[in-house]
Amino acid sequence: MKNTLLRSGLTILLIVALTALAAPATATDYTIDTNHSSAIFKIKHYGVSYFYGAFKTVTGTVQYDSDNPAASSIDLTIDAESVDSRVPNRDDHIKSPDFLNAKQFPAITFKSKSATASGDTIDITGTLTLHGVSKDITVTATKIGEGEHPRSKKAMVGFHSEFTVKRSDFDMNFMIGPLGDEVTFILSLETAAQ
Amino acid sequence: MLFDNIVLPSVVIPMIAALVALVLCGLLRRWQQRRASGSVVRPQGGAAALALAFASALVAMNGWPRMPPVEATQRLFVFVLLALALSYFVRKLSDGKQLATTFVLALPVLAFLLESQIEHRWSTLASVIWILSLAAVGVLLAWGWSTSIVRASVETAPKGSDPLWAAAIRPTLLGLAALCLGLSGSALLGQLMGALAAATATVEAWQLLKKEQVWLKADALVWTVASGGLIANTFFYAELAPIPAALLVLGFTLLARNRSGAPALFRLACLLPILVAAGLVIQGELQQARGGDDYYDYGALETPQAAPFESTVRS
Repeated sequence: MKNTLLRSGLTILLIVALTALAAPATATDYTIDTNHSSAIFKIKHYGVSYFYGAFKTVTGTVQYDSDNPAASSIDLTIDAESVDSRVPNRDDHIKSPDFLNAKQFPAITFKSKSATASGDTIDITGTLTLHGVSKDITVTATKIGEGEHPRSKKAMVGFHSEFTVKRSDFDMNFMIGPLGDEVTFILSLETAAQ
Repeated sequence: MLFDNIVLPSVVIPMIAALVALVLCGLLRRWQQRRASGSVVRPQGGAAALALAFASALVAMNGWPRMPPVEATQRLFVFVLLALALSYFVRKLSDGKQLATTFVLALPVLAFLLESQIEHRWSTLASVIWILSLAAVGVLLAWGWSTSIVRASVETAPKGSDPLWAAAIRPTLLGLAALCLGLSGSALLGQLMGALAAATATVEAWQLLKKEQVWLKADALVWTVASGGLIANTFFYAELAPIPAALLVLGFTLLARNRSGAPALFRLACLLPILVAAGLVIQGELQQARGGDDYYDYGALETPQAAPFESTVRS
């Protein structure tokens, strides 16, 4: 009787321990640190060079699980009004209906749907909404590093991604020729655990 | 670049589209006259020329609009073509009813064009006030245009009046308006106003050469949707300042009084609001020192003077 009870107890303990080991580790929620993140774009100018500009305001959240990077997700928003091309009049032009139409479409967003991972490289498929047009794209993000913030002691993780879209796919057709159709976005995100 | 990106889509293509519209409407009118049906609506070509010029210019510059349209400019494309279709029904109405119809039709057009303002920036009360006020502005534009074209083409011109004046005034005002919009942050919207100027010039030249009336009062519907929509888009989505915007509307309203028989000084005074608007916009741009031989080149090839390098080597 005593042996049976002991065996049952051990079996239950074993099942509990195995279940705990097999359960997926929960992904941590991170917030994008706007002041330490960059959203840069490049576009061909007159077919001879690349012009680089940036957006000052990138916000959003990242869910990341270092043990299971494929469970990662991202919800990112870029403020279209925050475009910075180093010339105020050009900023106005980029924000105008000729290009971003920032007053009508103030946000550029990317919401992930699924991800696959290989080491620190994560292929994220999601919906990019730009200029009021939503399209599914797949971007490759690389985890740059993980650590702890020296002062707040919060967990931190950073990612880098570079992807190219055709602006004509997002109904931004004005001046294709003098300005390239392809726009490359370079995102470098620093995030801190919530 | 100048020809391919500016002259071709905003001058040449709209002129060809307007000419095609005039020829087709002329052929259709002749065919209908031959059939001698008294009740048919005979197309005159003015509205079709404006609408097709606008649509073709937009397609040439920005590609085919997505359907259903999302962006305000794409929606304007649809509304201008709808206005063309409706103008053939509106022309049967009396003058007062035409203007009342313009007001009623302006309400949904403005609501769709300014949807993002209504959703994100304005309260319900502010939205109602803006839409009603802008619809009233639309009626002013329609009144100015319809009165002007009917006076120019129907009234007996007084002795010594210059028929070229009536033909020149509308394209000139539209050209100046195009300059204002183009210098207010959006080349696209400015060029679309330029397309209206090119189409209007084509219609006026056709009237002069063929000595036939092409404009109808109902054409004011297409004109109002296209020009009013462009001014509203540039004001709300680009950088057109309130005073030049108001002066543009005033200038187009004064078209009603600006006819070939009026004294020269009065006619010139009617041009003043749009000239002042253009002056204000140009002055504003000069103050911002947007340089370069090409306005949208932002001072290309003008190397800024570097500050003199101070040697760190102490003598």
